[in-house]
Amino acid sequence: QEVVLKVAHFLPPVSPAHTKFITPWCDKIAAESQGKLKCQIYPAMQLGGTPPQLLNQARDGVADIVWTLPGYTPGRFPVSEVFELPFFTTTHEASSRAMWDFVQNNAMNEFAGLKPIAVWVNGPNQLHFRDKRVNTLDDIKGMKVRAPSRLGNKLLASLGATPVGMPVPQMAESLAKGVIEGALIPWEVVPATKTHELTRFHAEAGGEYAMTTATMIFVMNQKKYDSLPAELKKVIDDNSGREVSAWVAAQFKGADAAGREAAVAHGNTVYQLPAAEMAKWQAATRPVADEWIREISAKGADGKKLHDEAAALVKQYSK
Amino acid sequence: MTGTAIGLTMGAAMMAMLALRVQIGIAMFLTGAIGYIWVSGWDPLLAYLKNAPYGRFSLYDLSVVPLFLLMGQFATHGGLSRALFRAANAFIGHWRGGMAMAGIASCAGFGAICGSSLATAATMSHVVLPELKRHQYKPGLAAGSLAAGGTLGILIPPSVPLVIYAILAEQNIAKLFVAAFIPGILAALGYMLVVAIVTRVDPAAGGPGTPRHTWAERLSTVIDTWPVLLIFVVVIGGIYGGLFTPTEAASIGVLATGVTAWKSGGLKGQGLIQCFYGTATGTGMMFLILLGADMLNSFMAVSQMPAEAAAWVQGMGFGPFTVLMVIIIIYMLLGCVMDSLSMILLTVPIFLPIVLGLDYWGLGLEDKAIWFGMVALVVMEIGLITPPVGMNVYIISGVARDIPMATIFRGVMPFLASDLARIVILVLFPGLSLFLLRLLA
Amino acid sequence: MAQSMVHPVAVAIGPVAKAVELACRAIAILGGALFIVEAVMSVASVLGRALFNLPVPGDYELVQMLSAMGIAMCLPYCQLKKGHVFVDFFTLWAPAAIKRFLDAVAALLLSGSAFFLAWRIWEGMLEMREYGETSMVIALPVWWGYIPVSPSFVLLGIAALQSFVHELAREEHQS
Ligand code: NA
Ligand code: NA
Repeated sequence: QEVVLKVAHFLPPVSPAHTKFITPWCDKIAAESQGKLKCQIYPAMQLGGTPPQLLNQARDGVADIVWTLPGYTPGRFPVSEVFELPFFTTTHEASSRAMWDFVQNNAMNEFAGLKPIAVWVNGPNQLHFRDKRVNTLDDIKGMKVRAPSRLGNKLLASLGATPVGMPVPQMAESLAKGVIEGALIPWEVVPATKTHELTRFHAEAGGEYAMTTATMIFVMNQKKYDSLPAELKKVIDDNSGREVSAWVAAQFKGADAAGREAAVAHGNTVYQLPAAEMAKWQAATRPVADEWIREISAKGADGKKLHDEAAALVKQYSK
Repeated sequence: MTGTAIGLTMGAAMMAMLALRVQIGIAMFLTGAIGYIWVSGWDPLLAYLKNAPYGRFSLYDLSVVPLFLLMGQFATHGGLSRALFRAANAFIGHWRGGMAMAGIASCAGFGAICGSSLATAATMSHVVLPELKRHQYKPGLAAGSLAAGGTLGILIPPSVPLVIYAILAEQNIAKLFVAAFIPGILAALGYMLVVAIVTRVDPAAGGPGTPRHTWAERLSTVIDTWPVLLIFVVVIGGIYGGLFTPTEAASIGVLATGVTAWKSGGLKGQGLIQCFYGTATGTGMMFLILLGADMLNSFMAVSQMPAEAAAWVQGMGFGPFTVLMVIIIIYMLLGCVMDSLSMILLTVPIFLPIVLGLDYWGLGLEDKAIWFGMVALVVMEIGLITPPVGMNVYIISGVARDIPMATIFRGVMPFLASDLARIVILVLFPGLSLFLLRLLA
Repeated sequence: MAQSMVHPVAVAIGPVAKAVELACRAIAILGGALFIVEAVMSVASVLGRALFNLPVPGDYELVQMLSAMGIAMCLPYCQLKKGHVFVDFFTLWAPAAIKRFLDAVAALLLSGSAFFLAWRIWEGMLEMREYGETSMVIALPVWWGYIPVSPSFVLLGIAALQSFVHELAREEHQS
């Protein structure tokens, strides 16, 4: 018999996430199950609710599979969040493989009722500035910059900037009018938000590590998975895991490249902050990691051990 | 059953509930919930409702709605309505029908700081109706001009229905407010023209004009309206200038009108509490409808009906203006019996994709969405004054208990004619909606 | 459509009815006060941002939480004032007794929906508390925002139940 999986996400059907990752994944499971597993994709929150509710929709079976960002529901993924710490991750694929292993070993309780299909980090976030080229810590002091996440917020504060937490649609408007002077976002988001038309300087972190990144998850309702016959479970299993996570991250890498090209084509200045300067920034943001370790330890886990294990995995896969 | 068949069945059930006096929000909610169970099952519904209402109520873009309502309450209690009318009257009160025109002009002024048409109609009719009566205006013209003038509350920005449209159409609220400015002024001028024509045809309708005021008198009355001008410039200018979000602008408006009301003594005694009550009634009314519409739209999305409907219309190969005319006629019919908020919530998810898929004057997607928003706003506004059920007419009739409802509806008719003319103009000249935006870009 | 402006508003009779009315009023006033707090906070944030580079931390999430609470608290008062709109066009011809019967049924449907929603939102709140979900910038527990929402829907249900009883009582009274 045929099983239809309801797949929900928050972006429009023309977005790279929809066309380059979700649709191909669905095509693949359809082919491997000889058409017994089909997706009905609901883009743009068509199942109702707001993006933060996607996680509960998967957990409660409103949707069978969702793509979402743990950052939308702060507090729900305290341990997995380690990958969003400042200067923690490297390339898309390596960091995503590390995240898969780390989650499997340490954070599966954050996925209660859910079966992870893929967990990954999207591209490094860059700093995009309206009218000032930032080269040093002194330059960014006091600047109003939109923060991407809870830890991104702390990162900006520790650099001496004024983090502003605003919804993405508001960001473009505020950049256009100078209410904020910059934004910390990945290249991938740039074209859709027209950030390349609203800013002129784009600072990439030199050296090995990304300033920060966002974790993402593609998860299935556990009961739905359990209800499948063995042969279909196997199709899902074959299309889940470390390498699938790396593959999804690679699709986002393509979108990152397109965003960077858009900025270059617009005649903007895309530049690298030198590795030596980044070392200073890394030192300045160290308290963010320390605070994360304290928070996790306060919950009864060994924060230091978790932090170091995740860092070691990133290093291992980045070789 | 196909999704469309389920959708149509549930649509019929909803119409039945509406006809049987079930609250619009609840009719939409029950239809959506039962349809959702039909398509998805009971457990998904239970799960969905755990977070959907809070998600709807905590949407940042919607937080501006209660603030606009509170701002309107404060403006009412601050006596700004009276100041506006005095100023308008000082300038044009001596014309034939001038006092009714001044009533419309002051409605427009009040509309510039109030986002709701009901509040504008209620507030201004309290101030203006007794004056018109005292100056022997015929009841039909007096009540009709205020019922129509009240709709300037939503035609002139800020406007709550436009906020909702902006969210549904995923358009920038600031741009829609700017776009609505010229159509709103056109509306006010059109209504004043109607008064001029009516009083020319029937000089007895307008009563004797008041004596001409001196420029010194005019100046002093204008000075009294400074809070209105200031608040309008700060709120609309600030939103468009990107200095702050609509919610922040409305917050400034709340504090500014609040201080004005407090200084004028309008918040004494029960004043402040009455403002809260008024806000609660308006907010409660709108959000019950929003909640129901949210449930209904979730069901419709799962049933795939809007997509199938849009595909069907496109497949029929109708010309763009035929489609637009049909849409406008549907709006007029719905507007006779429904309220404007539920109307947009029900129809925009279906109509907007259809309109965006057709070619109108070679407009781009964003321009088309803004232009259609203006047309839709005017059609919704018309619903407020068309018989047999027109909310503004009810409000006026509540204030002027001595004027029969039929007389008010008859008095509204000439104003309705100007509304129809304006729709044709807005459809034929999209530049009127887009001009200011291009100028400011 | 129609609202309280056209129809006489139920007059509270008896101690229970008085208590319900008082609760609806009190919660509406509280909701209004929350909107004022929200407005003051937003203005403070705008000024802080413009003048001192120092917006109120978490201003956007505070607005979301405060307005969600305030909006929910408006619902019962609106019912008290029969402010939730309905379409009366198709029943303009009907005798008063039929209208009252239909209004009683509508009130019952509203009441049932409100209690049902109150139950679901309550579950949602418990779940949010269990998950420990917070806001982004200042880590406000999300479930705090849910606290007045479920009770507001309960009160909405009670107010609607009262309308139901009132419509029926009026019917007997007049027949
Ligand atoms: Na207005
Ligand atoms: Na009407």
